Amino acid sequence: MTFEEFAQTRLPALLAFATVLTGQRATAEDITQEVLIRAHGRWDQIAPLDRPDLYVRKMVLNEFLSWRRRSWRTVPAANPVPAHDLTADHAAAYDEHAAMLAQIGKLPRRQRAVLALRYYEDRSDAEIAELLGCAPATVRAYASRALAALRIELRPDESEFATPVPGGI
Amino acid sequence: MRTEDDIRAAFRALAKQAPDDNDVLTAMREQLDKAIAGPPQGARRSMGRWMAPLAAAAAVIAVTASAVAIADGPSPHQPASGALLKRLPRYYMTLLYTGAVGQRIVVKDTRTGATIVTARPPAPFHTFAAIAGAADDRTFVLAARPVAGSVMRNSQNIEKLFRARLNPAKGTLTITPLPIPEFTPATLLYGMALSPDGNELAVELATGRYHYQLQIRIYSLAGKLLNSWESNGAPAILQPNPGNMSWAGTGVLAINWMHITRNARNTGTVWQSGVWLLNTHAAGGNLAGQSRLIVPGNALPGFYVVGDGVLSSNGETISAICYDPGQTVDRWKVEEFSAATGRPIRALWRVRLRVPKQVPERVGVPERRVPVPERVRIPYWLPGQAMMWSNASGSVLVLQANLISGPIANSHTAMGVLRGSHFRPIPGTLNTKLYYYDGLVF
Repeated sequence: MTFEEFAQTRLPALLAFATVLTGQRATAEDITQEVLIRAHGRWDQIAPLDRPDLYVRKMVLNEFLSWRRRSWRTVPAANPVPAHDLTADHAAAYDEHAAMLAQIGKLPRRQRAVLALRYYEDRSDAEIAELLGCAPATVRAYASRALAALRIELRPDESEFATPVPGGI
Repeated sequence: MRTEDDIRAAFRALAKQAPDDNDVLTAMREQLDKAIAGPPQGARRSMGRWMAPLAAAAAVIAVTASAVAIADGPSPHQPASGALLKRLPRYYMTLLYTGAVGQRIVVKDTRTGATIVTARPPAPFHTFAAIAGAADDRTFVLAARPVAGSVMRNSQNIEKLFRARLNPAKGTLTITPLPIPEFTPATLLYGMALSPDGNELAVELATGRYHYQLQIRIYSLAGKLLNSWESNGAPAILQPNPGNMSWAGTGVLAINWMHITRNARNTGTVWQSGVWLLNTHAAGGNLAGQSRLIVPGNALPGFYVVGDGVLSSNGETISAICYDPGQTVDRWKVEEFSAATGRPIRALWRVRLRVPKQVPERVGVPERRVPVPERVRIPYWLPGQAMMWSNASGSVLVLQANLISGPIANSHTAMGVLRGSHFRPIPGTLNTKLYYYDGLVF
């Protein structure tokens, strides 16, 4: 597979993956572009690999984990805003997604990466461990902490929905 | 489990917002082309086939690093590249400044800057006053007046609408009158927008005793009035700019106007300015009731939304120019907003201008103050009302900016492409006599 074939067939998926990782379209675009330019320079080494797409995906992941915010260049959005139609029905879904993504955005990058790989890419813990360069147990620990944080922060206030118990105290 | 399902759904929604892969490919090709071309000397090699030697790849990394350092400050003399220009409509039309504005219009080739055709209004009309264009960049609607004078709106003119059809191969523009009644001094034409398919025309009219009422009418180009809305007695303030209205393929029309009403206690007024969205298929009637203020003037904290918001043709985003007039630094942003929620998504471009102290003109006449670029590498600043065009996703914009030459402001208007925080002039638009302010359409 030539680099051009690779870029043309795999770029949309790479961009989607980078967007899920970063939560920001502009950052995703910057990261993907820089990774592809580097991959282009080393394509004769990447192309013979069994899974060049996995290798480039790992480059995207590493770029995300080491990405330094260039505040003068990219201005973070107030919230990641998924694109959707101009109908009121999407408002509720938007709010749910925005709330979830805002919580995910607060997580450490490695925990966010584990969530993206597990729930967006549907990868096994072993695959995630390989991509992140750590042990599967570490992946599970990251995931567990991330899910715990999200559950805690997303859990509605139970007192708000408490139902009076007849005869209760 | 609920949380895990929510994560999946949120990620899927987020993935749909991924950038256009063509944008990334185009930007990457540009960087690779630069790397291969190297310094200005020597012929520039095409990098279209991507097959570069390893030596060039090392240069790529170097160029990438330097591009970061000057990301928001491209050379003012570096025009938009061919790959970028191919993402714009091929032809645009604008009023031509020839001593008096609007006596002719000109159609130009976006990629080369070459003039395709110029035209005068059919007799007895004398001056073109407004223009609108369809998505095919071949179909335009022109408003013409029988008298000379400024294109600024006044109550002394009637305006007749014409359809113009471009044949670029022959270099001809066929202008035919539209069967739509002329607009009289009682119904001043403030703005026009063509539907993307070029079959319907939206006109923005100022009516009423002091022309403080706003009417939006939708006509078929066969002359039938299809729908209309009006501000229903509440004063409205309009801006007669070419980007005043933009029409998405979803049938939604974005209108920039200000709606003024009495407050609930009838003790004062409530001003609602900004970008309103109107579904052109909705029932006619009360404009404020049927439309929705989606990007109010204070939508971006710390900034005023000063430039006309342009709706992307897929109807999902609105891009507008925002301004923060500081005491020592003026800040300008081109901000992208969600057309569904009005929330800011991201800054597409940022310009900061240091306002010099002790400038006498500033005292009492703030509009005459002289802006100075905070960083010399930022060659442009943004006047208001300058958005011209958006591609389907809003990732490529055409807008008007002023070129700053040297440390003292000496601005010249240029129309250019904003893409990935880079503004690059379109060939042939810098320091020309094109009159962008009141008429330039793709």
